[in-house]
Amino acid sequence: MPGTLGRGSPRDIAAGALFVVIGCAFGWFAQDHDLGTPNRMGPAFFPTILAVMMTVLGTVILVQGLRRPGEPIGRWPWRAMLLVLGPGILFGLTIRPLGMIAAVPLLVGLSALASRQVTAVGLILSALVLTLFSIAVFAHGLGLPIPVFGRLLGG
Amino acid sequence: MEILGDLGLGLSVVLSPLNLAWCLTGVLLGTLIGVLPGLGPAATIAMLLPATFGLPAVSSLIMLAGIYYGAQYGGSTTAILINLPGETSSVVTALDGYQMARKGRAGAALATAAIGSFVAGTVATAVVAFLAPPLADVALNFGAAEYFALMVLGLVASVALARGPVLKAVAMVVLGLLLGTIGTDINSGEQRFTFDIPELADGINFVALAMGMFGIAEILTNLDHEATRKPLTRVIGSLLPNREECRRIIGPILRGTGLGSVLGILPGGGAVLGAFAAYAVEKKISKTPQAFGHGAIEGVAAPESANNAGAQTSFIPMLTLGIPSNPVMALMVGALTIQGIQPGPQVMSEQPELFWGVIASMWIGNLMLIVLNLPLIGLWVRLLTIPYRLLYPAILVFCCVGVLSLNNLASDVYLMILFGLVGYVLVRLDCEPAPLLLGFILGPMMEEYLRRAMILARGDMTTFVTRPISLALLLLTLAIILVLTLPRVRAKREEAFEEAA
Repeated sequence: MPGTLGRGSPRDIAAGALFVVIGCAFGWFAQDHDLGTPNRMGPAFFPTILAVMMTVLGTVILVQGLRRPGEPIGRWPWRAMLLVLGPGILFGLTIRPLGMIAAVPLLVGLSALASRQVTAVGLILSALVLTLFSIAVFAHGLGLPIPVFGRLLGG
Repeated sequence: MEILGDLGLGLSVVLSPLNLAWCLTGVLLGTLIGVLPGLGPAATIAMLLPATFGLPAVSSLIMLAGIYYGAQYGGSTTAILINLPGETSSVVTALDGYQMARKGRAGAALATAAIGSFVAGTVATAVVAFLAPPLADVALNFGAAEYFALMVLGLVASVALARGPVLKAVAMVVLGLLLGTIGTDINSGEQRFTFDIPELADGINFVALAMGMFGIAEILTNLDHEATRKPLTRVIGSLLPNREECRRIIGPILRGTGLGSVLGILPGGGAVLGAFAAYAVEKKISKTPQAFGHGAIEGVAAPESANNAGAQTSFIPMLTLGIPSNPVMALMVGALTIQGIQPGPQVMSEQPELFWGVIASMWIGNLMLIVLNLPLIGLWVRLLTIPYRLLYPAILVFCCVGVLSLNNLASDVYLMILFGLVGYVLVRLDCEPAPLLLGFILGPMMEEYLRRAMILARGDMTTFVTRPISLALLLLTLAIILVLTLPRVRAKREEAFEEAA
């Protein structure tokens, strides 16, 4: 995405817009609560001040970004993002039903694919080593309450 | 000499076999993980935090402090050997350290870093021991208004010293403060911004946030640059600096220690500022400034001493005021809070074992570092050869298991992954995550102090400028803001950070 607006700084524009959206969202939801007075600050008092600051700052960053040139954001590494963050979510989903014996190799095996330099041997070996390590250290050594075999595997 | 008695108490705490073991574990683990490319002290501590929660508060803080200087030292090792600084404070070390390594003097550079760090650590421990008690006494007289003003100052100063655009850093602080308001409001009991998700009732889990922002987001950043890893120096050369080199490093080590100690105390300071300043000073007063950047040993000795001294004196605001000056200290405050200790000036009087134990452990930890690390350099070099493609799945496993073990909630894992994504997107937009973490930690405290100050002043906002200490702190804050907006200072500041990049 090189210079979508010709001039202007895409990174500043995106960051500013993001901050404005966040500021407005907090400001909006803060209205569910009582603002109070300075003497007796309600639950919405502090967040509202911050939300206004956030929105103003975001606007300034956005406007400055429109005015002066800057570097492009660059391509997003969708593959790496998907293969690092996805397996993390999957770990959360599988750790109870399946336990470490399956959740850890899934996490390691899938996330290893995020690297462009992945090798089959490296992937299998690290999945094996890290699973054994996790079971030995986290479950047995430190006694963390994380199941080795999940409830679907008879744990 | 009351202070000797206090330090004696501290030493007796550290020298108990159990605490010695935790200190050693911390230093070793910290170095081990800090040496691994792409993992800085903040990420290392975030990753190892859950491991310390089962310990008593003193042991946990001693271990965390050990991890901090271990990781700091490990970061210098990677900076020297593969020109890949694990953290900002060793960016400067890489300039001359890597050049020395390329000339076959890696051993001397590593030894200089170790010796400099040890000298700096010893001096800085003394500085902490002498300065912390009077400062804590002063702080005991602070009211809510003063605390609020102090936090504003701390946050603004952290922005001044952050890398990247000032406005974005301010925005990140505010975002951190906003994230800190999520959860149950302690005063009204109302749930703010939780969308009826029960897991958010206690607020965002700070370990999940820190691990996501520093651990997970860094994996994505590192994968971006995966192809451009720099070649490793395999020749270490003689470990000891020769006589000429020994003579040349004395001055830089002492000056670096002094500068680092002073700059580390500043809010927002810590290790980074001292390292930059010390390097600049050495270059300025050197008779051969052209040698800098081409393997000048002074360019390793000064910043390494300064960053270790600064790392240590940055404990002063955390221990005495409860105000973290950098992300690592923010993690320490978080750890203390989870241990049920409210950081602040009362810690010194109410928990003398903790206070003095941590201070004494700094010196013991530094001693362990030098004794352990020089013989272990061979091992660290071998660790450096581990390719990143094998490393990051392991980091993921540690983060996932670690964050899960806190409360046994899968939602913490999802939250961590979410903040990993958010952190990565923000970094891509030139927004540094460090100010956000400081804001997040200070947010709830700031709101509470603001509320109390307002109640005491019956809603009169002028209370902040009519109380002298509060006024002074706010004027100082204003001065920093004004200085930051001066075009000349802004250009210089950008230049200083550019030079490192």
